[in-house]
Amino acid sequence: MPLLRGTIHELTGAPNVGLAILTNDRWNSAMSQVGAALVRPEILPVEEPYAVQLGDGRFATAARVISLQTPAAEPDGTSPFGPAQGSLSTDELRRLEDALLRFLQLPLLLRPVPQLRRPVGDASRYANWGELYVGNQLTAGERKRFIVVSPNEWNAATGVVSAIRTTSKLKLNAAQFPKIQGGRIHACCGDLTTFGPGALLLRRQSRPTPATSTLAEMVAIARGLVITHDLGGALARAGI
Amino acid sequence: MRKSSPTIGRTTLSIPGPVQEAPRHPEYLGLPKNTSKAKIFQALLARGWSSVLAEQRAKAELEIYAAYEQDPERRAAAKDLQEMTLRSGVV
Repeated sequence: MPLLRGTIHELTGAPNVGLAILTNDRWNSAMSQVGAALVRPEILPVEEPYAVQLGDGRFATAARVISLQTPAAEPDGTSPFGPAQGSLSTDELRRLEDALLRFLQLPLLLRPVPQLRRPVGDASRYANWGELYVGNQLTAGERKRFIVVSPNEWNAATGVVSAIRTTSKLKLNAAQFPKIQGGRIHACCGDLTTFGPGALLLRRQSRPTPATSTLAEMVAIARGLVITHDLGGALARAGI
Repeated sequence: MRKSSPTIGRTTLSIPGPVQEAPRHPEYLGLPKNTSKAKIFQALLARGWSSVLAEQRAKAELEIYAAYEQDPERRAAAKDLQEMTLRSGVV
């Protein structure tokens, strides 16, 4: 049975931590990996603008949306999705969508004249929004490229980074998989995930070429995220 | 020469039995009680077409995701990416 958007599942092995599913239900019904916001008993002060306190006192945070495999993908019982703990209320889901919209800076990108946020402080010390990095671990035998979509202020303050997997091999042409780097690779918007400090290699020698995306490419990614994470309602509430 | 138009602004049609109930419930369409039958059927057509388009979009979206689910690279990378996420201390 597919996981449903808005339901909260226990993170296997961490009974106090939940996973509030945010990818849209078309995605959830077809895919063996879904995107969910972490639900935790405590959050960092810097996380508050992007977090929603739930009825049980815990916080669902838009700054920590992670992509994980469903129980159907891991029939041996090793899926991170444990038993269902409940659901977000309509109001909680809307506030979490609004927080994710702000966190991903979609109102800035999807207005008639998109705006670009500048890096803060020493930009070489953290992963920058709109730039590409490779992971510090091999993925399917390769160092995969990721494009950073979390805001620079957050990246600089926490070292935690939300990013999207990219691929040069995908044959699909769809808004959910916009082409970047001049059309050479696709960004897989539904695979939005979050890494802790050190997961992406910052040193210049490790960066892909080109290492930066254009504003138009980031706008295309923003449109893809609106579809994969069902943020159309939040966008309308933001007046866009 | 007969004139033809690419769009139909007006036509005559038979209303299917169950749909004939619609004028009794204009509130279901968000319309006031004294709304004319014509306006109610207009609203119904607009709502119906909008649903058809939404269904088509959902179907197309599902096909895209089903194709992505089968993508060999995605399948090979999914488990490694999950481990990279969970081991990075994000939880």
